[in-house]
Amino acid sequence: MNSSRDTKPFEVPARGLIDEALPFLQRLPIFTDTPYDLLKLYAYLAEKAHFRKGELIQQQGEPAGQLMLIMSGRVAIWQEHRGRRFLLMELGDDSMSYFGELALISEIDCYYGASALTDVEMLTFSRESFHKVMERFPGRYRQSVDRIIRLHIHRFVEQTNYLFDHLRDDAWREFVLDDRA
Amino acid sequence: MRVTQRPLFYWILNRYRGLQLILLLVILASLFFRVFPLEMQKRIVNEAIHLRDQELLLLYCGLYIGAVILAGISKYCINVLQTIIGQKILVEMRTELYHHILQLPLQFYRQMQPGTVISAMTAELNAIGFFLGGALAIPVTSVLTFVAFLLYMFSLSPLLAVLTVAIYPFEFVLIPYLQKKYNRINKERIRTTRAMANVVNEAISGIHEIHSNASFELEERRLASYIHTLYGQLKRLFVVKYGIKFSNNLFQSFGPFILFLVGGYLAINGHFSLGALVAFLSAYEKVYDPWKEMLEYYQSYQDAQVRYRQVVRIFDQEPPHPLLPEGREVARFRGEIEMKNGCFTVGGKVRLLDRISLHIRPGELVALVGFSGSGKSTLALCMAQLYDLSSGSLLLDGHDISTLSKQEVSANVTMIAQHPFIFTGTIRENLLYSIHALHQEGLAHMVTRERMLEAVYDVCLDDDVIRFGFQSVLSREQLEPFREKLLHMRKVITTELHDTFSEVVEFYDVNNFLHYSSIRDNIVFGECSRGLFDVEKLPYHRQFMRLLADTGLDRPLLMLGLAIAERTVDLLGDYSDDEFFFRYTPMHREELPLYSMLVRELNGELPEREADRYLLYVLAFRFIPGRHRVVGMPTGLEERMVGLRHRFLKEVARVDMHYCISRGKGKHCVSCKEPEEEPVFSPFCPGQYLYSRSLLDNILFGVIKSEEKMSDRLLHLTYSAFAREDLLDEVLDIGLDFHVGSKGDRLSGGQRQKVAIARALLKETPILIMDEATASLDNISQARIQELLEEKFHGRRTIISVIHRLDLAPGYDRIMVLQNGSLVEQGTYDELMAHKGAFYELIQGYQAV
Repeated sequence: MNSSRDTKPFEVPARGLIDEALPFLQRLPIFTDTPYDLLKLYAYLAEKAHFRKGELIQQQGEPAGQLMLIMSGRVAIWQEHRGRRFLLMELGDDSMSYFGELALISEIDCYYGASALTDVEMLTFSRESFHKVMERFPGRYRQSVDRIIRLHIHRFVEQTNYLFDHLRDDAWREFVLDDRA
Repeated sequence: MRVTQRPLFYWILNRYRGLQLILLLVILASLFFRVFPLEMQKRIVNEAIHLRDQELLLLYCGLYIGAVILAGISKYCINVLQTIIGQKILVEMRTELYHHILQLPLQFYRQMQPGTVISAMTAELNAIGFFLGGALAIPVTSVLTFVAFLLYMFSLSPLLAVLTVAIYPFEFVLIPYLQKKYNRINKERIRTTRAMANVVNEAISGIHEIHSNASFELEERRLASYIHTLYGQLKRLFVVKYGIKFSNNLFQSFGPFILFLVGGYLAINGHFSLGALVAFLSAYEKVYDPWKEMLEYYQSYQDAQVRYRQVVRIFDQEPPHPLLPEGREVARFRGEIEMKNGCFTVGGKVRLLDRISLHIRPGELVALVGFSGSGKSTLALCMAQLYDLSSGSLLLDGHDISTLSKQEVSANVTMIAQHPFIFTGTIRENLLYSIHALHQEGLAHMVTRERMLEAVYDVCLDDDVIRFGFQSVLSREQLEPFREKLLHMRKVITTELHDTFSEVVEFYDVNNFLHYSSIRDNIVFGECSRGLFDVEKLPYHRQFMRLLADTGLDRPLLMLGLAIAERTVDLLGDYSDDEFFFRYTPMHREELPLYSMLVRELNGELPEREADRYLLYVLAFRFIPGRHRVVGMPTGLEERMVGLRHRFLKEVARVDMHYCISRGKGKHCVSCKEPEEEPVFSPFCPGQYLYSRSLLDNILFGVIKSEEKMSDRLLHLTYSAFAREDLLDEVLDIGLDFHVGSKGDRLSGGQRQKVAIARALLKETPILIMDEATASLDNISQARIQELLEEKFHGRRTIISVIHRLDLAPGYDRIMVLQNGSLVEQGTYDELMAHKGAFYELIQGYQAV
């Protein structure tokens, strides 16, 4: 037996960033049902980013170009309105651990901002990478867009509910349907 | 006399007369040496051979060869002189013509294809140059030689002489007839060549359109029609040309026929000596040379004449304005502009400006607004004397602009176009372009470094130029004035600002493994100017490979290479057609088939063959752990790599890193014995500048972790660091030497506009005309320049600005609204809004969009 094969596993570990990123991507609803080979390609194209506590991750109004996936830490999603900053939601590495999904399908300026609440480690996945992969699998594109929109609606509902929960009573203007007409 | 109205011979008769006289004298001298050998021929036969006198034979032969050599030398001198004179005249012709062409009005260039101008100024003038040199000398030489030989022939035998020249009159009729025909076809040929040049020129200029429309066939057809026409013309041209040659040769052969027939008869009957017959024959042959030269001269004269007329005809226009003022100094105006009933018409019918009257006070800030095609830009061009009014008048400080010289207008008015032209060269050269032009006439001040940097800051070009500065790779000469400051900057960043920068940069540290550098850089830890330790050469470097084996790192690196190959082939096997997918692996796209084969052959085993091992080493040496994701860095290898690095530096590169770090200078390297010389191997030594790296790389003294090298975060940090040390102006100064590429194609549209605005500001003229000059700028830069106009220059310069962005309008002292070439409204923003007229409508439309 060739001795090189004996020593190989000890000297060349297989764990690159791909292996690190794979479990996180698998958890992402956008990639549910994605074949393993394709998921590996997504993991290969993802990038790792670190943000310190308090650091700005995404400026409101600036172009958004990537999906951000939290590996560890907590992120605040906020929106500035008339000079005041409102918290829309807090994200962590647990349930909803991502934001920026719309950036994958559209060139948009971000309507919200994101800041690191703790030291944060993230995976980012760019629109360019997403489109490059989709060019190879055009059949999956429709399904992916559909998922992204559903996720976004889900996020929207979550954010609105969060706002409702935190509104002062005097801010309520009850809506009454006038059915006499 | 206007340059385009001069006849061709004007240049010959009025230029370099002294040289031409010398040429004539050499020609006269050469005549004697050409006739003399004939006489010697006769004497050799009649006297030396006839009398069997050997001494005489030697004497005549000596004289003969002497005269032949001198004739050759004089011919050589004539040719050289002729060419020198021709080329000197051509230089003047070209210079004066170019001077004239540049002054022709813009309308001329709107109608003229660039190909025509280029071909006229280059190839066609070249052909004329060859004729010019001999224009006087050739006919004089030929006529004199012809006469001299003829006289000599008459002296030998008048009868034979008359008979042999009797055929010449026939040629006088036939040759000019053929030549006329040749000229006519030649004219057609020139026209076709120009049209062809225009088609090619247009195709190259519009290559984007051709590619995007895939109109290759269409364009080929366009050119093909000209190619075929040219073929037909050239065919006819050569038929005539060789016809002329044929008739010449035919006539030439008639001479000896008559000579042998009659001369032979006379010699047989004792009326003519044999020596005289030999001499006569030679003289006949010689007399035909000047005759032939004259015919050729006639042809080339006609050819040059045709070309010359074609060239000057297209430029035959009087420049509308003199270059310099006559009888007065160039004055500096206050900046008052007044137009009375100004009209501008094109094609005699279409009126682009219709009886416009306006008055702009010195220092006023005026906006010209209106729909597209309303005449705003035309009005601006008229104010800059780039267009001339068809009727009415335009006064600058009371002077009619049509009577002002180009220099007067240039010294007082600056125009910035929407799509400014940037010249090939550096940013600095482009910024100083206008100033240099004025300097030539002593009309401009010197620009100090401070003034130039101020202009760069004013137009928000500083960020761009600093970026260029950071990316510059400096030569030793360029670096010298900044070296100490830059090395100090490096020290500040690597020590005081270490923690801040270490988030984005991995600093070179001889004792640490570098995750964002390749394995090769980790081992070699330096730059080699001769490429000795390049990745592709390393596996062949014996000493290096021996060291690798000694340290036991050869196998782990081979395994790393194999793992990279296996995983890349597995992951990207189906994506070899797109470079994009290969950004995170050390394997190049085009190498995939080669490595696929290797992986298949090896089947997980390490290779035995040298060539296969080489392939795996290359992948391993290229591997950057922090960037390449296909595999991770093997455990324990990092420390061993650092150990290998130390041994490499000591044993292979022969560098004492301890000395390097403690003394901070790189003069210890064995390969660089002379301190002045560029070292062959430069280690990443804190005190040594790396000449093959950019300024930024040198300052940061490490590798940038981010994929995007000039990330905003890094730039922001570096700016602050340089600003803290008061060194930003130094980088700016270096960045000004950035080469903008051909016509500025390495700059973005916005950068080009900024360069043009800074160039205009440096000129400091009292009147500044901007034709949508900030249209390609980002909002921040546009606002900054607007602020500059409204505050810094307000009241100090008259500014007329053609604007499309109506939200900028409130800042102007006065807004002039144009509609269909007429000035329909003018007033302040508030006045016009209150009036609810044309401007109000424009604003409504603008806000709706």
